[in-house]
Amino acid sequence: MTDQRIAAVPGNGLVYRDGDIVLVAGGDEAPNNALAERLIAAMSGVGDAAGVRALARLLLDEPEPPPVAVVAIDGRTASIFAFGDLDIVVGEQRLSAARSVLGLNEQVDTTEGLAVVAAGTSPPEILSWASLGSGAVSGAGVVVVAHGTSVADVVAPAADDVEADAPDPDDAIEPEEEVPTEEPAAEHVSGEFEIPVLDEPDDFEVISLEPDVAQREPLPVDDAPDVSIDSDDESAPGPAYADPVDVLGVMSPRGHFNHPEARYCSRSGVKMGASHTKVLVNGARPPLGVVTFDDGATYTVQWNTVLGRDPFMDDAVRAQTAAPLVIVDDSQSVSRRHVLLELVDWDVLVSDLGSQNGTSIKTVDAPERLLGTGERVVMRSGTAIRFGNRSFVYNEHHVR
Amino acid sequence: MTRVGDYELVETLERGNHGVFYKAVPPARLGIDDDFVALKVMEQHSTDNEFRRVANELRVFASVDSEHVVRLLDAGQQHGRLFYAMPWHPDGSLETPAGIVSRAQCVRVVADAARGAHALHEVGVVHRDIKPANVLIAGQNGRLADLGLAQLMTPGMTTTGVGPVGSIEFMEPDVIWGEKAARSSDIWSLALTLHQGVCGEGVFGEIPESNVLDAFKHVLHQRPALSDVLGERLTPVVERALSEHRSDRHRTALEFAEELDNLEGLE
Repeated sequence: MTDQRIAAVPGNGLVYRDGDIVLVAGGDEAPNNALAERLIAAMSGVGDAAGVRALARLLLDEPEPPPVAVVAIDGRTASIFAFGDLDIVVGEQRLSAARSVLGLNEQVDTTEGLAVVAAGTSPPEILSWASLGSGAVSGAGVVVVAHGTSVADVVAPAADDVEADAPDPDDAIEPEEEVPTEEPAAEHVSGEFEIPVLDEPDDFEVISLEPDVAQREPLPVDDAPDVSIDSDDESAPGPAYADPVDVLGVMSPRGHFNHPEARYCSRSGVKMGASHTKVLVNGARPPLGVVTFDDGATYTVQWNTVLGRDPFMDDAVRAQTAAPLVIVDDSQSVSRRHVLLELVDWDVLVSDLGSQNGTSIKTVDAPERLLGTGERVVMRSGTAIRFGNRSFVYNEHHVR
Repeated sequence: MTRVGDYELVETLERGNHGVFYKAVPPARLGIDDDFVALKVMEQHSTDNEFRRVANELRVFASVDSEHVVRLLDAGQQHGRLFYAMPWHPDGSLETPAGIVSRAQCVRVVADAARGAHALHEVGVVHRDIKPANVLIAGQNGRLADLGLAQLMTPGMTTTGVGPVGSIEFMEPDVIWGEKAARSSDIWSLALTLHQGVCGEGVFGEIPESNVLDAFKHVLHQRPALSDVLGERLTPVVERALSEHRSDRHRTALEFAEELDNLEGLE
């Protein structure tokens, strides 16, 4: 058992200690008796993460769960699970559990002392003789006194100093949401775009939201394969690159059209029977694979595509034999038309469109190299393509 | 001061490859009392055709008269960039709620979002991007927000890259395989949203955030594994909505909602 002294912060909530495990429930408000008893029952005898998860489940079923923290002390570190209006004070640092739905789940160093207190409050002075051995008492929180230090050392910055961290119901989404903006890793810079500062408030056009199109039909209830995203705009016929292309393939036992050499159906995973492999039939070429970009965006490879910052000037795009795919890149390292993906039979070929900075390819079994002028390479699962600051990885649908 | 159109931007909420969500001060011309709105600004549109298609989709979205669909307040474009405004929801979304969401409340909120999805389906629109971040909390009720416009802007684009890689797990795999989105696609996403909300975890285990390809294979090649936390009453509903074959799922999102309604007394 830890040799660290644990003391309850005076208050009306529940504080419970069993060995190295400490529970704080309710903050300064007493949880109802039945719940308090269940919490204590759930805690006793469990000193590991599984116990903490069991407790979390118990609380998630409560209509209005009280603020709860569980601290499992293990030598100089402690695992903490907390949610609701509680702050965890570790040395100079303050962690707020108030905004976390699934709870705060942290491992902290206890060398500097540790306290669980009601949100926005500071750990109080603990009398030198106060110590909670085991069992349940009333309290609003706990102070784990750092070994060999006085309680005063545990006192955290006053609540006022950390006001920005205190829960504010009107503003609760802010801190979580800001995280992504703070971590644009170098490779991801291009995944964002800046809205230009536009200080001409009249330089925009409002789009009327009055329905000027005939009311659409409800979606079919039965699984209808022909609900096309183009079908809702009859005036715009599909581009030529989207026209179906017939290829030779085989049917899987479940009726999925597959690569002629497929040993397993790419959709259902069933083994292609011997009888099926012999019958080559003409069918519309299914999407061949998926490209996944560095920023997590995905693109289904189903027709020829020109990738670039501004691919619309490409001849094939103008002739509608290739689709444009705009690649956002503020660093301008990607050319206007940079990479071409071509579908030939059952293969996807990648080539560089004479870009300024070139395109590099890395396959599973070869080191990265630059694509030569006019060179077209068949992509396989795991083929990684880098162009400027952006990159993608290709994943084939069919299993070879 | 930073503006988009005649909106004053207050803070950035979410940012991704296809657009940015802002908290913004609405212009007086809207005649609304709210201090703030959520403003989405899309990436530069590509062609007039695609732009028109998106504007049409927004009009249809605006015409949906359902308390379970977030109202569209305004739309416009500036320098070729489309923007649209929706009411600000201080209670947050299922992804970032302002308070603790109990199991019963989560079920109610997702059932409401399903009713919202049904209202969209009835006017011929598939949402395409239902996930916890798009299910907003309004007191005890839920509302479905935003639309997955990425597929309309760029056919073939299945996810927008907004948010972490893990958000691809809410997409119906059939759509990633190239199937057209249908009612059953949204029903799939609703079930995954419910699972995430109730259990605090997805159905594909640990999705490797650092390796997009692995994350992708996970979602594409694994059957969802439901958590025990879901409990014996919710599990059959979610299981049905996640049936491998579309025809085995709930026929409509309303049917999914009603099955959830029938589970009274979850708390």
